[in-house]
Amino acid sequence: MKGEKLAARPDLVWLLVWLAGMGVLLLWDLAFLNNPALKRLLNALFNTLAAGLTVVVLALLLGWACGAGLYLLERRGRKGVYLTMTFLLNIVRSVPQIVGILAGYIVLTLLIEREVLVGSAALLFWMSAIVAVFVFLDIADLVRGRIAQFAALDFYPAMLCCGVSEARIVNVEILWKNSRAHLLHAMIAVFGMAVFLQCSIDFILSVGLSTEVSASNFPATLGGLLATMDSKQDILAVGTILTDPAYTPQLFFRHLQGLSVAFALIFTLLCIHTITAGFVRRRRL
Amino acid sequence: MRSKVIEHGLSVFCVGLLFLAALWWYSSMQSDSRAQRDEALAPFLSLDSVDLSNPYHRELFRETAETFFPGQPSDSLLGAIDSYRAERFTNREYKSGVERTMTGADLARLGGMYLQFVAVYLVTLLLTSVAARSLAVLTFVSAKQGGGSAPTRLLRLVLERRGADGRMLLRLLLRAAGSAVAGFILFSPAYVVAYALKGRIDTGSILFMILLAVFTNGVLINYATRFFNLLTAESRKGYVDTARVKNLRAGWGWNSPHGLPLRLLWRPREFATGHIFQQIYLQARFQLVPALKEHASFLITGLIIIEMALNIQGHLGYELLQNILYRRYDVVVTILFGMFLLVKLTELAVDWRVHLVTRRFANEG
Repeated sequence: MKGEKLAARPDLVWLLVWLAGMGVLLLWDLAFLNNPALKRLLNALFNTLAAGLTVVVLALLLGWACGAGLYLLERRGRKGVYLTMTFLLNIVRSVPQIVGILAGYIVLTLLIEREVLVGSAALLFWMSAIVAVFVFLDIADLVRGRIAQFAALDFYPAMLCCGVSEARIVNVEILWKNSRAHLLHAMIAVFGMAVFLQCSIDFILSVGLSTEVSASNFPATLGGLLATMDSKQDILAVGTILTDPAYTPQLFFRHLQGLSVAFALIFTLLCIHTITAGFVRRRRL
Repeated sequence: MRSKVIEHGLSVFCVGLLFLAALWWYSSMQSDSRAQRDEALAPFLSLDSVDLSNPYHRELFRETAETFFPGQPSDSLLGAIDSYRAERFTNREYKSGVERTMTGADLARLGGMYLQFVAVYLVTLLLTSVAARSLAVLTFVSAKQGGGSAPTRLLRLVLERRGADGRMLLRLLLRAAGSAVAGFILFSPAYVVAYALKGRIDTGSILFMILLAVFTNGVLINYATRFFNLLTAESRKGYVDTARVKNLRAGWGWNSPHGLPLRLLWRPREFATGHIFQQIYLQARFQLVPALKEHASFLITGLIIIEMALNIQGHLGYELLQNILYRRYDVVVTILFGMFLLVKLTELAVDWRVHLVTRRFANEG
């Protein structure tokens, strides 16, 4: 019976699958990966997940503020501010995320060089803030969509007649009480996107700009760790099994660092996707 | 539609102005600070009797500087002289003696790369759109058949502790393993797949780049899932039940009398006539059109990641990275503006398409 209940919650099942997968990886690495590499891997995984969660929180705050703010501006007849904000948001939307984040990292590098930004926690926060600027629009669109949907119903003018303020109707009645599942769904998707973008930018910086913008200045994420020479050699070894399948078992012992990093990254992205899909199915969003 | 054109045009104009202003500000700030630094260092650079590469001279210089300029840290002065001397060798402007700006040849070279990037982008966009549509239709029909994906069915079997015969379990296991491998490739960042195959195949070819852009970075699966969700949401609407009552075909078996032909996967609109799926598909497809904007932007992100991560020379992403490295911000700004323009043109095309379809639905076209 418990199993049937669990099967009806595919998002939870996939969360458990992710935890189990990462647990198996950890146990395997504890047994076969050398200690310094294991520490680097755990540090990178922690930084990646911490950065992803920070992006989610910042994106939620930004998205909520923009979505609700735009609606209230429009309702109160502040056309000039509303149009300017919409225009600026559309410009941000048109910048390919990786390009915007790269530009943000250039600014971060300049700040690091001038010692304005010091400490890995502050750096991690600002790295996440830059990513959040380019992913929060999904949440802002969702917030606007939900408000528009509820504003068309009778309940909205009814609450106004009861003397409830518009800000309360939007923020509490519509978004908090009636859109939590939708917001949670968008937040899981944003988390996946944040992990992907963060790792990609760190990989690019570590591979492409290593002589000028030292990626070692930034807290290591899975992308940065994947770009190290050891990990790249390990990933290169994966191709060996195409011509020499008998080499496959060796991968799990001799090329563990790169393989573990790649597995942690891809498995996380895959599970986030399935968790999101499961959530959509269960809540019929 | 006119308001959309004005909005897009205005944002291109504003961003262009912003880039020009940033470029002007940066170059004026750069030349000012360089002139100030050169002026401050000039007295120390003309000391013929001092060779700062000699440790003895270096120490002597440090002590003398600390005696004569007590407030100024000697290490930062030495550091500034070192970086000035290094720049004489590394900075092209010092080497050539003239301010290095973007020439017509540079622009032509960038133009060629840009056109190549646009061509790859368009091919990838077309391929992902077609593939995502087929994948979404396949998943949707499978879900309607009561199947679901193999890993999900396997998990359900384990969780519900249902009995299954050995052959079925083996088949399910094999399918789940296949799905897992496919899932790992589809969700893998492009650079992981590319590095795994480096040395085995030509990872610098355009064909490989297109394949990477289509099948990795989660581009295909995300777009397909979005379409699948739209199909599912549409299939729950009331008109579907009405259509079923009015005797439209409603079976979900492949190639069965009341079901759907398998060739539907390639041409869903044409081969579902008389089946409730046709209306579901048309409605969902209409809602998918605006999502093409986000898909296009993400696709460009993916292409840039591939070009940058693989360091493929002669490609726009590589050129962007190199010019960030050499701090040639005029080239960087030109490339960024080109990419912004590409996204804007795509958005304009999508808005145009939405406008046409909306007019058709409103019987105006």
